Amino acid sequence: MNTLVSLKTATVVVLLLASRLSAQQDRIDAGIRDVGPRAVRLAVPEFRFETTGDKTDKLAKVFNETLLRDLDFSGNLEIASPSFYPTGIFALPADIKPEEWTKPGIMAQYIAYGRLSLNGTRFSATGRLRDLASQQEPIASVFPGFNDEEESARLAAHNFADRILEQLGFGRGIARTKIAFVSSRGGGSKEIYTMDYDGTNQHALTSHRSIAITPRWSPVDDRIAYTVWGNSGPQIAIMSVSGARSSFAQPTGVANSVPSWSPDGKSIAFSSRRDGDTEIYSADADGSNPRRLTNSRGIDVSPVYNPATGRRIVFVSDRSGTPQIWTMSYDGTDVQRITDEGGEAANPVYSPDGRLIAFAWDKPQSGGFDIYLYDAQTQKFTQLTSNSRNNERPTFAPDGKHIAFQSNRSGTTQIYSMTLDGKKVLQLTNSGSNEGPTWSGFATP
Amino acid sequence: MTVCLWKRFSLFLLLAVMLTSIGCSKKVAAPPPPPPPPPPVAPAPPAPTITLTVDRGSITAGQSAVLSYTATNATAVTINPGIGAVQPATTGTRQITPTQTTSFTARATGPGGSADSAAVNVVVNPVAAPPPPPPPPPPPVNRGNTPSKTLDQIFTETMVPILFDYDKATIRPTEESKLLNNAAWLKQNPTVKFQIEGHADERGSQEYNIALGDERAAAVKKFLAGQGIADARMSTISYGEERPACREQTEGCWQQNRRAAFVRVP
Repeated sequence: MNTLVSLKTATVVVLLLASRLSAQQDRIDAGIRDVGPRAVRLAVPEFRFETTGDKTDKLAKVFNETLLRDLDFSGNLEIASPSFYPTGIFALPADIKPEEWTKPGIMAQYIAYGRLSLNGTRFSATGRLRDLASQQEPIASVFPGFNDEEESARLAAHNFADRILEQLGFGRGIARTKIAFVSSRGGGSKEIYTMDYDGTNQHALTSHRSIAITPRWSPVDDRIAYTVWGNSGPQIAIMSVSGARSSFAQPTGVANSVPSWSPDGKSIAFSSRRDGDTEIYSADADGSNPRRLTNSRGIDVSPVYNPATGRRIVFVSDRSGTPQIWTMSYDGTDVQRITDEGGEAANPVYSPDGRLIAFAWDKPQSGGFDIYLYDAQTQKFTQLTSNSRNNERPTFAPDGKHIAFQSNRSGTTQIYSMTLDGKKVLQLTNSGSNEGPTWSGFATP
Repeated sequence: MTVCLWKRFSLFLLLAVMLTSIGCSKKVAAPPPPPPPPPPVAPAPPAPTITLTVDRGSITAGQSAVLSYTATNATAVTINPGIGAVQPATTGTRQITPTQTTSFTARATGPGGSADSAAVNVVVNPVAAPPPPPPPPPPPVNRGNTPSKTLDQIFTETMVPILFDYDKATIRPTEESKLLNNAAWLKQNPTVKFQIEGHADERGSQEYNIALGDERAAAVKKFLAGQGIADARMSTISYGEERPACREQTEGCWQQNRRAAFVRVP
């Protein structure tokens, strides 16, 4: 895994054709999946206020750090090293001399610059993006905050970063998306939390003082379905992001767990032992009209709909002896096995376009779980993490180019994110023990 | 996935073989003390006497026995070990629940001196790990008016957790004798209701382990139902891997966590 070799699409096709004949381990793609178009080189001189002070210095620091992290974490941009930047203030179009930014050492194609201001108690940033070849400025906008706190500086930076990425052709940015997760920082109980995609702004959503795990965003990000322990054990619960519970009909006395929404938001798939064996069901979003989808001795868990089509469900079943990844049609027919190399597989999720399945795989002799991708088109696997600890519970960002996951690589279980090629790894949590991330869609309220 | 370590261990509790009974041939009372030095007026007070008996000379651990004493000419009676002064100083009983074989004596003290009773032995037999086919009758509960062990304590001691193999929810043969013992005790105590908690070790996925714990609890419930325990007395709950009994990353600890545990409910 140390030497990652990028495979060109043509090679992948050739390997796909050859894979029918090749040994199973050849199906592990040692290479990188391209995150997007070739990187664009961007200079980002510091944004400043016209006047300085403790408060504005702090706000400027937050804005600049957030903007740089957003742009860098996208994986699509190379940020030119600031150590070669010219000195001075770069706030207005007249401040930019193109030759200073295209010379060797910087060689930027674009420059993102502007200035910050406080109008009364309202923060705002004026952000500009200049094409250093054409001298066009496709972005010249005010990105307002809503108060004079750090959250406004972060919001303005997120909005500017997303605009830059979209403008440069890298699709919709994820800087304003959220991640739901599980934290036991409050003591013995586990609660559902949410945070911004970069780990800031962490807040508890639930206060059950019990065990609340496996959060899943609704397709429009207004509600979260999860598993919570009541008096009779694990049950499915649904809570809006404003904290309002909605009901879900289910029997007591057996585990009903690990819910997941259909892409139209009308159905929830989950596991239940209501008929005596742990099977996967789909019900209306209030739990009514449950339909049994699996019928096999043993455990069937962790269903997730293909978000692009809603027509297939990926899940975990031990019907072959150990937990493995399987898929089936949304009505339970056409069951297909995905992992077949022994060990244990867990936590499957589809990419937003439905082509990839990310999951955790504890292969024989591997010594722990690692994150893998399965490409349904090429039927190849790609290993994304590799260390001596467990890396589990992958979740795709809505751009399909980033994955968050949990890992105990640091000793405690924490949440990390990375680009789809396994790079740009960021640790998002560090307080207590944190697990089970689920990335929101773009529609984060 | 690691190879599941089959740590087969058998727990043999040795049935203690009974000690030779110790004769009760000691004299009941000490010889009268020598007359005190010439008192001014009063006659010498009479010397105290005391006898100590027990209703059962042999019990099983967890059971109780009753000591009875009768003293004369005494102002204080003490029973040892472990009881101390008792009231009244004439005649009375004390319930005891010794955890090991014990020799009790009583001492009467009065104006006329003191006297020791003969030693009374109470033999305590350990709770036997029953040979698989017929479990021995479990100890009855609530013997005497004020048992020193509550029903909860006896429940906890009797209803030991059932252990499982990695990624399995089937009752393994070595655990069946435990379950038979549990079933026998539950039949003797038909009012006891309980919850069966299914647990998994930390390996495998959290989601899968919810189901695995659920299946383990259900397997134990099914077994007990097959032994005649009424469904209405039993409920199940899965805790998945969320409530480990220990947190070391060793096979020994993982085995302790792969369990179905019993909790008494009102």
